[in-house]
Amino acid sequence: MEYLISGIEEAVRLLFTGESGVYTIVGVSVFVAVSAILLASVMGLPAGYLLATRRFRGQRFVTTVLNTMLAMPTVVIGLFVYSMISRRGPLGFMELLYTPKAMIIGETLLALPIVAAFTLSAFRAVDSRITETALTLGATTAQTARTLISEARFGIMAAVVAAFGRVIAEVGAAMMLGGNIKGSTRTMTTAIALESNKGEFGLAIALGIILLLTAFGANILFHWLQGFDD
Amino acid sequence: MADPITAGPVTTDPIIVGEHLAHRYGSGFHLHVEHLALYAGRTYAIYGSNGSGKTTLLNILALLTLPHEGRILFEGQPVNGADPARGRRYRRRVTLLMQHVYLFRSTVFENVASGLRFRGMAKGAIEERVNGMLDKVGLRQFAHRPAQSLSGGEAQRAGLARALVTDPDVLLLDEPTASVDAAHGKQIESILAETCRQRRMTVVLSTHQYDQAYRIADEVLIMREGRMLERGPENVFKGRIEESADGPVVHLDGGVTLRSDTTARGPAHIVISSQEIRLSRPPRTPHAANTLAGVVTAASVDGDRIRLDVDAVPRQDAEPGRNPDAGLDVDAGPRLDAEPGRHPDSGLDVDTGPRLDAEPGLRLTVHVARGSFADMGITVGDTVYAAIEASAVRAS
Repeated sequence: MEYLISGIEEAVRLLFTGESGVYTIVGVSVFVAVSAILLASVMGLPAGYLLATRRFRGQRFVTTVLNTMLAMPTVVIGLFVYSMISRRGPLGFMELLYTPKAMIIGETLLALPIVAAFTLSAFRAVDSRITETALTLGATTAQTARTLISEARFGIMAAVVAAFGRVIAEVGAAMMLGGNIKGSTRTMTTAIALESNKGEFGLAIALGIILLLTAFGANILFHWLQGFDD
Repeated sequence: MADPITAGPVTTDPIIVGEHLAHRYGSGFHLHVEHLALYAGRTYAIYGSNGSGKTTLLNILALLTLPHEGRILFEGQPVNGADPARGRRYRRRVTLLMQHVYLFRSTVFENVASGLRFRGMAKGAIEERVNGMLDKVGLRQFAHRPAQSLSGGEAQRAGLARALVTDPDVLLLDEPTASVDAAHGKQIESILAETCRQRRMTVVLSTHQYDQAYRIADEVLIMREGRMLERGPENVFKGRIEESADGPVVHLDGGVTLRSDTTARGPAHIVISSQEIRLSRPPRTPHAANTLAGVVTAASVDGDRIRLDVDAVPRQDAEPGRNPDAGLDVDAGPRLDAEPGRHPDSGLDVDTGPRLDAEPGLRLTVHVARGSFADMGITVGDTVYAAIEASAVRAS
């Protein structure tokens, strides 16, 4: 037990002093996660909107694939992207492996189905009278879409927050694609894994606390946003 | 609401015409409205029970539902189908207030402003108009509250304000008072009346409240099972259906007794289908049952037909069940036809017509084809006979 107590003491000290590059690691984590979420949102929000409002052939199939991808193991995403960008892969010439860019690609693929699927359900959950009401008030097609997005805004934000929570806490793809290089691709999760292996519990616990608070925060925000839809 | 003299349908073309409108649902419900003409500045009530097709018809008129068949003309131009821009221009002049109004997740002010924002109106102008409208519906103090916090009646008024502030030419209202309490219902009715006094606006509201329909509207359209039964309050009468030796008879308030096929008994509202009343000029007629003498008091053009108001009095010599000569079976009497040209003995001296000073009767509305109308040469003030099939006399 001694080592745990001293680990916690060390963690508190690190959090206050910022030694051992704690906040560099947090910075990399946040940078990668935010970049991935932005990319996933740019693609996932319109995809969710179109899936919710348009009718087309194969729609059910796309929706089913999307929902299945929600449960995709992160190491499988890591494996897929790794095979693409490793030296022998089709995108090997871009030399992306073990860079933050590689991690962003992996985390975007992880976040995309979450953003799209949650956006889809957010649009499905809004009142069916919104579109009709906008039309009776003389809205154009674009104005009707904007009205619908505005009405679904809390559900859409919840989709983004949920994806952020998943990405920031993910370790498999980050490890495989980033390589856990100190100061460059070392994130909170990969650092915790490494430091625990080394027996350096102080840094691991310090990062664990930050990660836990972030995940808690995201979760609370998610439920708060979802509460607006009741 | 509208002044019957200035807002009468005689002088103008209809603002909205529905032609051969048909719409089917999977449930088997079938809306079929052959011809509907709405005139600018008039207030119409679509009266019918739940499921009679009122909402479907209003949604079609608002272009929210595209009818499977038929077309809608606005100021003579077709608006459904064609191009979406024309549909949108139409929707900017014809708006619908749904029965269960949806308010956007924003403030009351923003809700009322939304139609004006869609039209790209300047901020200052929006503020002025919205505040004015909120004053009018008594919601000014709620302007900056979240719309979701309003009560049902307040929400309905906010919805009405949101529709009225866009200054529509035609306002469609689906059961505007059905989901609010009596006090709010009265308030909504008076806001509507006030608006119509200030501005020439066509109002079409659906209702299942008989009294509301007749209280508010210049004209009542009755719907049943997806069809328009009758237009005009003139041919709905209070009365009593009784059994007689020769089948059911209807005693209408006003002293007129008619034979009917209806299976209903007791006090009822009686509808006489204006399509099934045949007019003829005196002296043709005769001893047929269900024939009323009357004077033409008004004539107006309604599409390809002429709509006549006939103030009818009961024939003294042919009340059903009283006069042995009357020939209670309609078929036994001479055939009455609106086209006197076919009758060799038509056009005799008008003086042999009916006595009209007998009793106060009832005002009938009769539709006559333009051609027949011209052939008969009827003008306002003429005396006519109106023959009514027993099957045309129904309980409402």
